This record gives sequence, structure tokens and C-alpha cells, in this order.
Amino acid sequence: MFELSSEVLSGLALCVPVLPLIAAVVSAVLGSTRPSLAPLVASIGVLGAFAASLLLLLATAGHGGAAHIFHYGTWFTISHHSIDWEIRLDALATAMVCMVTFISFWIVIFSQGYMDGDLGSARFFSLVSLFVGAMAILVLANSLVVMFLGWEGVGVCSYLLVGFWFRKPEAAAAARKAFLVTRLGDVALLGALLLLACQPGSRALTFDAVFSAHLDAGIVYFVLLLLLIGAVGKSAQFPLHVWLPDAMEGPTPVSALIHAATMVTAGVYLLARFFPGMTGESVDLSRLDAIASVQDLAGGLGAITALSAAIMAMGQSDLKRVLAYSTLSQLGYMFMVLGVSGEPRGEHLPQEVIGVAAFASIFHLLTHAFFKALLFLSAGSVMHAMGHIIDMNRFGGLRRLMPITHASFLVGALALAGFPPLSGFFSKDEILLELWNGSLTGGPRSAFFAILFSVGLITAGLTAYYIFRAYFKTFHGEEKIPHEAGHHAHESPRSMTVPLMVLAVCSVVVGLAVGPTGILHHYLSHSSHWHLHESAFSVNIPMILGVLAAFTGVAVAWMLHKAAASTAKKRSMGLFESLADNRLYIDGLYLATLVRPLAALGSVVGWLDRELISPLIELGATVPRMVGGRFRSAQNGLLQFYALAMALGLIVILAMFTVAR
Amino acid sequence: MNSPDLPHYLACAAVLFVLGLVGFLARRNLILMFLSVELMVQGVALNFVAFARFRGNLDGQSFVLFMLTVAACEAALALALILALYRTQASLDVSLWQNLREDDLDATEDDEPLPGMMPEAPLPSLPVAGIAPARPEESNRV
Repeated sequence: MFELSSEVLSGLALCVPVLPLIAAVVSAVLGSTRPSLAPLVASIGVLGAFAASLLLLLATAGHGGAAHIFHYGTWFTISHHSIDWEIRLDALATAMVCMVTFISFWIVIFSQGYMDGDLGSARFFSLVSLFVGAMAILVLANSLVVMFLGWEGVGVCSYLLVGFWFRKPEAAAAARKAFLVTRLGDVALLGALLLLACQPGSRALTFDAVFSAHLDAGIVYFVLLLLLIGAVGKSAQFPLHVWLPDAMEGPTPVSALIHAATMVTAGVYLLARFFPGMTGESVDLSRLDAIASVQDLAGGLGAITALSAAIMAMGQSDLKRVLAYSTLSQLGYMFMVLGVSGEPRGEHLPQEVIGVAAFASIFHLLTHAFFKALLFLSAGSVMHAMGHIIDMNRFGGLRRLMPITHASFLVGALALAGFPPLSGFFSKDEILLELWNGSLTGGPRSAFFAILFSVGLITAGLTAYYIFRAYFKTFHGEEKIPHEAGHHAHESPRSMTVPLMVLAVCSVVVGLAVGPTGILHHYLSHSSHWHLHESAFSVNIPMILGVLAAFTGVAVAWMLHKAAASTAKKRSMGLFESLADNRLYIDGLYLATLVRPLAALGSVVGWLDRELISPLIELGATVPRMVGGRFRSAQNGLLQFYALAMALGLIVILAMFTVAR
Repeated sequence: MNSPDLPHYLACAAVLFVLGLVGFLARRNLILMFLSVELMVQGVALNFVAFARFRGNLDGQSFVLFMLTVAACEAALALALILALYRTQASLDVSLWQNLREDDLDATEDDEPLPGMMPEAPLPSLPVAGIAPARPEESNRV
């Protein structure tokens, strides 16, 4: 749109991570004396970051080509390879950071109302700013090591914010669980970095160095596998998903920001960068094969997560938990489409297929961020009015009491369910289309993609069902207000409803504006290694199927929960609800197979230590004790005895000298 | 017989030192033990002075000056400690203080008590010194 000189771009890019970090420090320092200033400082910092990233977006929208790399200094140097403070600004990073700072800003505004009166609110705003800074570092870093810094930074902020009400035992336990489970993934990510650092070509550990290095297919396989494990941990996919539902113990704006819109999508972002990037410049079949086998895993895990999380969401009675499982399920969608591997399809090169799949996942990531943040904030608004009660059985029929929250939740639910022309429709359609196309190639993986497609379709139906079940239970039916709400059951203050309205408008508009018009497609085609081709928007079979699934889901939800909410029909869902209540027994499985055996092992080892090792050590200690016992009687406390001993000692020494001479 | 030679001085110093040592080991009275220590110190000081005299320099002399200073300080400290000890047990017997022995050892006790310990006497109460201050006349205010 307009040209900016390289220096200005560099300065703007630096502002994005640095302003929130400064705001974090300032609000932490000010917070102890003037807590009322903390939200102001945080919102200014995040707004500054958003303004800078919006300028960057507009300035780079016009021209494509290579990514800009800005150098600010050197972090450290190991044997001629320096890890630099560098920002790599390409289309993907810019779009991502724009979304992150925009949503963060509105969530900070929302939190101003939501956290009003909380004693630790200065800590809250400081941590949120810190999170935004760390997320910007993660997204913008040029070096993988710096990216890892951001990756860990957001993990720490997530830990601290989930455990924000740390005096509540559930919150402290949830924070610990979130930290430990994601740590498994982080270790794998660190392993990937070390593996890359051991290869001569990629030792510099920048994205460009890694992507252009000549790596063995085996190395590529293991690097991507480790990255996938890291992404699975961060994005809460199937085996490591257990932390996300518990993370809902944190304040609701945190759930909206970290556990729906930004941090949990970091894994998708990482894979969307690496899968296309690792294909290399030329077609190398063994390398493509290695990538494809990791992609199969990603797609499979995504499918399992998408379906199982949707099933678990269907039976939850806790409104935030429904949204948490919904987030898992939507992230599963993104992983599924990342699994579309590059079998040569028609005239398209494999790289292009992987690039288009990555585009679909990022598109869904962006739209999902808007409507899921909207849904969480609406749930937060409900919670705020209901005196922090979030059990859907305890309230209901709130649509007259909270008209704005009702409208925004409805918009979010429609977008999530994928109703045209809301944003979720376009991005979900893109994913289904990619899976559909994959299944039509007739290659060895087409059956796999057909399964993924049907999982996606079923999940679309389930998604529509569970979100509208939550919607009907919360906003329709007989008006019910828990006694905790007292006389405060009313629409939330302006600082909370304005962000809701803004995000609602975005949820409606964003998909329509950037999807079918091809703006996003065109813009992201400039990201390196993506090889996107221009494609026109058209109505297609998966789209129709997806919309049908969504309508079916809403219709079922209507029948079960709106039209006749009779107890008999509720009984019929008993199996589902008990399955969902127990989270498909996965947490129990982990408890039985990992936690309990480890605890048993620990108690056995503890017993051995107490009963076997300790006595052995004690045995060793008896020798000096016995020898010492012989001389202990000399310590009788008599002053003159000591003096006599000294005199005798002196005489002995003198005698020895005399004899020796 | 000429003027005394170095061995004479050393012999005298040795006698002083051994007297002090024996006194320190044999006596039970804290004050006498302290005096014995002083005796040993003086024996050593005499050695210093003698060697300084016969070697023809003043090193030993100056060292003795320091020794005397330290001995004076030590005397002040020791007497203060003795006074404090006396106040707790009303006795100067050194064997009353054996608390720093090993836990499982019994206290050492004499078969026969010491003859001629200090009689239990109340501490003298000092009379008021000086002339009693004249009280100001109560003025008769009318």
C-alpha cells in the first residue's frame, strides 16, 4: 500500500515485541503502589505493538519477494556461530503478529472490566503484557533459538496465568499440570534444535539456513518428528491434550488469549512453517517421503483430537470446558489439514500442495482466533454477571438479561459452527476442500485422506451440536440465576461489551473479507516456501456437505435442548455425558498407567532408601563413632585437666626433639 | 663472681615459668590460677629481656612492652570473668565449672573436699562516699 524505508521497518518490527515487554516491567513496578495504572500501561503497550504490526502489514502488503531480516545485535556466540537478535519479517509472521496484538489489545480492554477489584490485577496485566511480548518474539524470531526463547516465555506466562488464583488448589494444580505436560513437548522441540545444530548445513539455526541446508532424509524425518511432538504439546493435541481443559482454572480473559487464540496455535504456526519449508528448493523424493510420514502422524493425531474433543465437548456442563474442548477440536482440524502431504497432484508440485495445506491451516488459525476469543469473552461476561458460576445447569435463559453478550455469543457460535458467510465457514471449508482433494488423487494415501475428510465432516456436525447446546442452555429456556450472582446479574460494563462487539464484527467480517476475495491468499503467497497459486473461490461439494453437517448439528441441538428439554431425552444422552464427564477416561488412563506406577516406584525407591541405603551409610558411620568414643572421656570439662594435657604434650614434644637431635 | 650471665637469667625465667605452671595445675582457686598464669607470662618476658640484653638489640625489649600491655588487658578481662563466675556460684573453685564436658560423662568430684575454702561471707556493702549533700531548704511560701 505504501513504501517505508528499511530503517523504519526495522524500528517498527522492534516495537512489536519490545513495547509489551516494557509495559510488563512498568506495570509490574507501578502496580505495587498504583494498581489502577497497570491496565492503562498494559493496554498502551499492547496497542503500540498492534499499531506497529498493522503498519508493517500495510507496508509489506504491496510487494512480495524475500523476507526482510533485521539485525539488532548478537545474543551469544558459540565457535564462530552467533545467535543473533534478529527479526524475520515475512507475510506469515506479519499476519500472525497482527492477529495476536489485535486480539490481545481487546482482551486487555475486556480484562479491565473483568479483573476490576481483583487484588492481583497489576500482576495480571503485567503478565499479559509479558505474554504478548513473548508471543511476538516467538512469531518474529529469525533464529530458532530466539524462537525457543519466545516459546518458553509463553509457556511460563501460561503457567503463571493459569495459576493466577494460586491460593485455589485446583488452579495451582492445573497450572502445574499445564506446565509439566507442555514441558514434554518443549523437550522434544529442544531436541529438534540440537539435532539441527549438529548438522553442518543448518548450524546457524536460522529459518533460512535450516530450510536451505542439505539434510539427510533421516535427519529431516527426526527433526520434523521432534517438532511435531513439540507442537502437539503446545497445541494440546491428542496424547498431550490433557492440560488444556484444566487450564480453564485461569481467569477467562487468559483462556481467551492464551488457550484459544494465540499460544496454543503456536504449534500449528511452527508446523505450517516447517512442513513447506523443509521440502527444499528442488524435488527430492526421499525427503518428501520423510516429510509425508511425519505429516501422516500430524493428520492422524489431529483427527483423533478433533473427533474425541468434540465428543467430550458434547457432555460438558461447564461452559468454559465446552469452549476448551472446542479449541482442542479446532486445533485438531488445523493439524488434520497439515497432514495433507505432497503427493504429486495433477500439474501441481508436491511443494505447492503442502503450501496450500499450510495456508488452509493458517487461515483457520486466524479466523478461529477471532471467534474463539469472542466465545470465551462472552462466557467470561456471563461468568462475571453470574458471580463466577460457570455451570450451565445453574443458569439459563439469559438472553433478555444480557442482550449484547447473547448476540456476541450467538455470532461466535455461528462462526464456529461454520455457517455461511461467517468467518469459520470459509476457513473450515478450505480445510475440508484440501482433505477432499487429497482423497481424490488416487495415490497411496487417498484412503487416509478420505478418513480424515469424513472425520472433519462428522466433527463439523458435532461442533455445531455442542456449541448450540451450550448456547441454548445458557441463553434460552426459563430464566435461572444462581444465588451467587446476587443482585449483580446484569449486562457487563462498557469496557467488556465493546470488545465483544468488536470481536463479533471481526468474526463476521474477517473470513468474508480475506477468504473469498483472495486477499489473504495473495498476501500469504509471499511467505517464503509456500508456493501458493492463485485460486478462485467457488462453491464445491465439501462446502455443501460441511454446511449440511452444521445445520444438522444445530437442528439436533434445537430439538434436544430448546424445543423440548424433557428429562427423558436428557437421559438418552447419559452415556455420552458420562463419557464426556470422565474425559473419555484418558486422564484416568494416564493416572493409571503413568502417574500411579511412578508414584508406586517412588514409594518403593523411598523404602529402599530408608531401609537399605541408610543403614549401610549408618554402618560406615559407626567406625569413626567407635574410635571417637575411646577419646571422648578426655573431654571432661575440667580446665586443669586440659592444662595438664597441654603441659604433658609439650613435654613429649620437647623430649622428641631432644631424642631426634 | 661477676655480673650475672645469660644462663642465670634463663634459669631464673625457667623457675618463674615452672612455678607458674605448677601453680596453675595444682591450685583450685580461680584468682590464684590467674596469678600463676601471670607468673608464667613474666617468666617468658624475662627471657625476652635477657636475650635482648645479650644479643645487643632492642627487639625483645619492645616485645615485652607489648606483652605487658596485653597482660594488663587480659588481667582486666580475667578478673571481670572471675567476678561474674563468682556471682553465679558464690565460690572460686574452678572445678565447679565443668559444663562443657561430653553429655554422657559424669561430673568429676573430689573424694575429699578442699580444705580452707573461702568462708561464706556476704559481699561488703560500701558505705556512702563523701559528705551527704545538703538538702535544699524547703522554702515556706506564703
